[in-house]
Amino acid sequence: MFLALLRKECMQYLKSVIYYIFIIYLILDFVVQMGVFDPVRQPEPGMEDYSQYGSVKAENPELVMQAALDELLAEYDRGEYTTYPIGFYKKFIPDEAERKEIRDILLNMTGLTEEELAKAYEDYANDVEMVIRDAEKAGELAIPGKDIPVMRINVREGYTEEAFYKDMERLDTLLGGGSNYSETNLERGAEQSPTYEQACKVYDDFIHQDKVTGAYARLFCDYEGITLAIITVFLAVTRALRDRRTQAEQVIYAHRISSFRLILSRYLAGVIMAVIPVFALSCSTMAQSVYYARHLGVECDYLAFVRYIAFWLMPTILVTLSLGFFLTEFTDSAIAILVQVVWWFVSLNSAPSLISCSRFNLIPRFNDVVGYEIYEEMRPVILWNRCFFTILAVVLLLLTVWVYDMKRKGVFVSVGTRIRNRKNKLEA
Amino acid sequence: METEIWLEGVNKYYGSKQALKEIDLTIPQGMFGLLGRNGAGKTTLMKVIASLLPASSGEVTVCGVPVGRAGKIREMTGYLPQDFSMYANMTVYEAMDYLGVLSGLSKRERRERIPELLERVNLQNNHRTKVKAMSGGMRRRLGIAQAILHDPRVLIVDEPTAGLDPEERVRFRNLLCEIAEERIVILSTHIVGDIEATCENIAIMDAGEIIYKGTVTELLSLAEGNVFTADISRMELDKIKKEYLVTGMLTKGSMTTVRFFLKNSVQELFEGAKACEVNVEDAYMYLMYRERGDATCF
Repeated sequence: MFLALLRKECMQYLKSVIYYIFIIYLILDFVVQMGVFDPVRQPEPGMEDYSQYGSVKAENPELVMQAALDELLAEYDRGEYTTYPIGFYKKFIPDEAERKEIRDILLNMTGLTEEELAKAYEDYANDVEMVIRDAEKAGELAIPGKDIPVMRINVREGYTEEAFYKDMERLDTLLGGGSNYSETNLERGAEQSPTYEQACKVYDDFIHQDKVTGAYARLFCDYEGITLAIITVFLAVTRALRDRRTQAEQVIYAHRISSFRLILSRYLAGVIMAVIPVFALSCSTMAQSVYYARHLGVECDYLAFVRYIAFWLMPTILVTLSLGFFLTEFTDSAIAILVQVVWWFVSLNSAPSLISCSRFNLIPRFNDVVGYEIYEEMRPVILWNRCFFTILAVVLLLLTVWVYDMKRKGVFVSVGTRIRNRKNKLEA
Repeated sequence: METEIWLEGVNKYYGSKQALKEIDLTIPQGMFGLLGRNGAGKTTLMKVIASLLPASSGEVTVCGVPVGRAGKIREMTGYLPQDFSMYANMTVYEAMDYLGVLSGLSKRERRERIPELLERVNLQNNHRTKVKAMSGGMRRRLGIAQAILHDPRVLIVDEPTAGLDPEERVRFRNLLCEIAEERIVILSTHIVGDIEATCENIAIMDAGEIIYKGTVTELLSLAEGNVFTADISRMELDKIKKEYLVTGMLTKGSMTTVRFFLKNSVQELFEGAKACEVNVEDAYMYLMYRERGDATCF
């Protein structure tokens, strides 16, 4: 009986215009992002640049220290600091006492006195002003990072690595954690293009660890994860509102089926109908990556796409649908779309880079074909993240069932209905 | 096995507004009419019986099952709401099939019962018609068909004939009477003619209260001897309307035949007025005036 209902609910989606818009958007997005297959070629000695094979941590600690100092000088000048204390962007603006403490760290790193530091900033400001003036005279715009110089003061001689990490820990704590001076971000900040040998290692991982298809599956999930985190909510909202829109609510309420089975069937149908086009699209990239693997004469992982979609994309689909159903049943309105748009926007823009995942960010990122080693390092956080959202999806689904059951018994009146009733009363 | 619905001391509040006031009612097997004007509380009462609304206080049992056991109640009842509709893109058969699944019917049961019921409600040639293409009457018939698809012991029908043409209305009433042979059918309506044609037992509601419960015959006897008819000139009509409670007028040329009540027992009749046979509408209006002193509808 449940399967019969599930089948019928799937058919409901097939009769929905919104579903076809969903598919078209998925296809268009896929074509734009992954329309052209980008094969990873074996690195050759003597290449000018190996940055297509990712980036590596600077082995020289002085490079790490200098990169941190450059960043700190810039943020100190601006008077605000970028932090991600719980995975979401937060701007930290220090008070007077905190500013003094940060200045002390700067002085310790540079070996300058307070006056010398102030003078250095003054000279820098003058240099910048001059560059901007010259550009204006030439009728051009001075672009930061390109035309406008970055302030550069060298780390003082004799500044040890131990002292550096101590200062950075103190600084990160002062800024509330998740700053550019946390241990993770220090390492990322001092990345550099790999050497030929390092590039070969990356390529080797691409062949033997990712088995080619795994790498492209990951990239596919990176792109599709962004799209699915927003458009899937439309499926939930249109399905949940359909009973009300067609005035079928009362009739359906009065039938024998339990609220749990009814909601579950609609939800699972949404999951199935969302996943089918995703799998269909993945066949294109998979076919290309399999072909490429065969061309390279390597054994590929035929289940890579299935695994990655199940592990990476499914939790996004599950939680987006769940939230959509819950908020729609709770409010009898389409507000879930607005909420999801906001959540999607914040998630996307709070990611510190195109390869990042934090525990509570809806959209894990891995926008690169190579980088298996980095992925392995990130895997525990990704796993945590995906499990969290799966559990959240289940909780929201159960809440949806509860709300629906209460509405069915006339015990719960949704927020949207209350507002409409009040409005009608006032109009009358 | 019990086949009655029993309500005792049922109250229902929407905020501070009391929609049902101390409802005590027993509904036996067969057709039962629930009559009252708009806003009387009929739909609220129907929904309480169907466990779609909880009563604020009091007890309700349906065939021995308290309405708190919503699952069991839904198994036993079929409900046709006032504004029945289904998903517009579904065909008649698909809508029935979908609702059949929601009723817990197996594929075999649905395959057998759906064509049978569609024939019974005269929709056998419309099984491929989409719901959005159906007329009001066709939708109501679909509504009845889905309500009895799972062979419920109780059928609750809320204002089923509102907006239907006379032919549809007659067809609908006849169908309900057939269905009521082994069930409880509660028909809620503000159209007196529906009650008159189909129900023996009725209750009349007003402002959330039951102001009458009994048989139609007993209701008619209340107004017996109190309804009069007279032929008057059109010029006298306004005067008569002011002095008496006019329930019906039929104008033929310059003369008008009026049906009316006396406002009280001491009021005198005018010449030419004579007592006439009471119909249910007269009895209803008489009761409303007697119970509510409400002359606004006259």
